[in-house]
Amino acid sequence: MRRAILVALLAVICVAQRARDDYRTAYNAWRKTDPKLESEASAGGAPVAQRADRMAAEAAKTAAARKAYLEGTIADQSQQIAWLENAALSAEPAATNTKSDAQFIDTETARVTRTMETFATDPDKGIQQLRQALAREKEALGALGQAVAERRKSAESAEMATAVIGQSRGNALEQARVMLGGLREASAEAAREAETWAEYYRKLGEGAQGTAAPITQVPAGVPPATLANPAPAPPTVTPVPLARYVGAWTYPQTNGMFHGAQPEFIDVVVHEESGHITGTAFGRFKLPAGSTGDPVLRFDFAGDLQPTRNQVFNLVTSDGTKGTIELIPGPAFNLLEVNFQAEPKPGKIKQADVVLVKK
Amino acid sequence: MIRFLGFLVLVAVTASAEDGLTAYRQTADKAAADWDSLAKGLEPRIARLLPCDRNSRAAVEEVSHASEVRLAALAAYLKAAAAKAKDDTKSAKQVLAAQAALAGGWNTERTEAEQQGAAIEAQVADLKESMRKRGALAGAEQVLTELARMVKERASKSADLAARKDVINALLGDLAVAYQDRQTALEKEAAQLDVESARWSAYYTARLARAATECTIINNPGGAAAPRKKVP
Repeated sequence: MRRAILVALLAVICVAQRARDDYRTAYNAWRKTDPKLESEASAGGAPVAQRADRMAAEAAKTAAARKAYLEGTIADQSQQIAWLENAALSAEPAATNTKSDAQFIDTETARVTRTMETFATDPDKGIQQLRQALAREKEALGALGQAVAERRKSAESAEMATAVIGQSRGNALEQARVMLGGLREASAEAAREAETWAEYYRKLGEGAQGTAAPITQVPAGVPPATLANPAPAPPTVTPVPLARYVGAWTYPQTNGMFHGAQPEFIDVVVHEESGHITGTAFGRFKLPAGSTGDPVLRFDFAGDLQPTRNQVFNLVTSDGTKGTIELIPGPAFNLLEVNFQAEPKPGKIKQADVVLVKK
Repeated sequence: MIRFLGFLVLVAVTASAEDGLTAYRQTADKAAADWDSLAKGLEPRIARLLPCDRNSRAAVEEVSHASEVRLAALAAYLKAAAAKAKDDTKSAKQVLAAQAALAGGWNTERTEAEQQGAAIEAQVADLKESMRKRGALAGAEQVLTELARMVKERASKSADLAARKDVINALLGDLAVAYQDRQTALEKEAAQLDVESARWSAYYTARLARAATECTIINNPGGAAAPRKKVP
């Protein structure tokens, strides 16, 4: 059992360290993704916006790792506090108090001494035997008194230590609560930082669009900014980066957003090659009670990208039904709204509008 | 999950040990009260009896037995209390180690925030340079400057909390030492109670011997002719 406690507490330290390492790894990856983005932002255009989008994704990963680290640390600190709160000691029992013993010994010693003195000069043999018995009893009381006094010292030490424990525990608890408050504040602040980083990259992407227009005159002698991104993003006709459409997307298990039929799950995969999109979708929907319809939806879609934010493609379901799918980049880089419509067929899903998250 | 299970184990052990101690404590207190009552009433009780009255010896033996019972109950409590104190000491040391790691994290937080702040300052400088050609980046620059401020504040708060590290470590260190002291005191008290129990046994043996002597001298023809008044 004791080993279990030791292992558990060591695990606390190890897990906390691992979570911090995860956060640090994510942060370093983010920072290494595109260190020249700001200095090359003046080049403008879709490539810069796309690079900003990529950085936003890395920043979001870092924020998620930091959140996990801080939440883990909050849990650890809470456990420390819980232990301190539960570590209060009860007062020592009355039985450990030696007061009654000492009183008894004093009383009996006085009584025996008095009796011995009464018969001190009595020459009677029997009385002398009694005096000897009383002397042995007094001797036993003396030895007992010493033993009780010794135990009293240890009992007092234990009581003193208990008092120190109470005081130290209270003070440590106060400090640990301050630490916990700091962690909670740091967690809230981390969420605000994450939102601000998303806003920053969004504004950077927006600012990179359109014709360059300096706000100040470049002083003579200042070299012009040059685009030196080691991994330039591929050009695209879309006003937002391809990453907003391309990839594997899924319906979240909790708090999913939808309009029309409610999905149980949906997976959509979108590929792009030379401006041409191909994709597949597979999902299952919740049907009204008593319905005998087919809850499963499976279709393929394809088409060329257009210079518009929303992209519409033709689709064909697994049973040959035709329709359209509209891909709408969501409010965050990792969200994609999918609006599906098919020709009405009895027992088949004909319309759905869901918001998917990038896998 | 591991952390949660570990915590449950810790709380369960503490709770069950505390429950057990309460039972020992109640038993010890009751036995002590029983002995105290009998011991205080012994002399008045036997003062009215003749030295050779078998009730006189029985009364002393009853108190002696009550003494053994209360000492055994107290020994059981002290043994359990010392065992729990040992566990408490171990737990306190583990909590100290865990807290030291947690509190040390604030130093790392501060250092990392300072490094991140420096990196953002460099980004701001680069972005300002780009703004000279593309004024539309001004909005992004404002947000980045705000981020620099946020990260700087984070470094400052982390430094404040890092400064508390020594305080909480010292307090938990004191706590661990106090638990250790308490454990040592209880272990010593338990050992001393063994010695004391032997002394109590010796005392009651002597007390019974005196009662036997009182009876003997009453019946001894070489002693006083008439029955003597019992020795107080």
